[in-house]
Amino acid sequence: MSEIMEKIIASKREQRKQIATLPIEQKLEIMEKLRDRELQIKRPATVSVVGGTVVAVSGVQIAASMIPGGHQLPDQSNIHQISKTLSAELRKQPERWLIESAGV
Amino acid sequence: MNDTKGAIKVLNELQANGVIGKYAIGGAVAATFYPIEPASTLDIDVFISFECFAGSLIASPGKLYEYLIPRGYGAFGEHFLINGWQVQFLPAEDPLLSEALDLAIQKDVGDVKTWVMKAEHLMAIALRLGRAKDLIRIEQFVHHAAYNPVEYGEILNRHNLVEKWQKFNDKYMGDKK
Repeated sequence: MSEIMEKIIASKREQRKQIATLPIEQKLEIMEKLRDRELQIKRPATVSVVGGTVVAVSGVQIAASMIPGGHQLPDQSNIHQISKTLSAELRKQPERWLIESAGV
Repeated sequence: MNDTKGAIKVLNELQANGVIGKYAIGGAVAATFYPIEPASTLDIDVFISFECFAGSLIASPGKLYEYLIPRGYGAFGEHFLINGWQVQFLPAEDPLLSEALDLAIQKDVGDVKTWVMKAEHLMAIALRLGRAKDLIRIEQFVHHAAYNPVEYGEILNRHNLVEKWQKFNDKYMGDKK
């Protein structure tokens, strides 16, 4: 292994050690940032509908994004409110809903 | 840190009010309490006594719903939304999980106390699950020597995981064994 490679690996090892040994408070802050970033990545949404009512969705952000203007909802919006609004949207324009759902 | 601290406070409230008994945080959030790198996760896995939820593989929402929903916490699927975290309550329904819950240790987040599974149990559970993210976590514990090998060996023996550990070592650890 070249000297440069050895230095790079040693540096990475040191970096890992520094992060690993941070105080728990700082590590939890990092985790929360990683979580928030992951939540912002759009993923396919799973929506369960029973009798025209949305009964379950996966991902609050995804669900919120299906509501007109819903992307402005805060991260911790109440999922029941979102489900209720989604159900109303579904009943108003089922065709539009299906197209949008498939496109997410 | 405030999100997590807030979520832990809610867990302690649930315990203090008798909604759940002893609990232990597992998974990626628990691993963060040890000297390994924090990992990305959306969930806090909270293991609770199986007796609370007899007959259910996923913790029955009954009492949890009754307590959490009126207090403004959301719920969907198998999760409750608490302070930005998707909190999943899981029954410690087999000998390994049950032991991990019993022997969980108390940790502090600032002025808040919580119960966290021991590093050796987190490793054994990750080994048994065997998903990519679990194997990465085991590598982290080994890389940082953040566990007690003797205690870990005893857990592997007790729960028939020695062969699996050997395979993991042969495949992934090379000269780190």
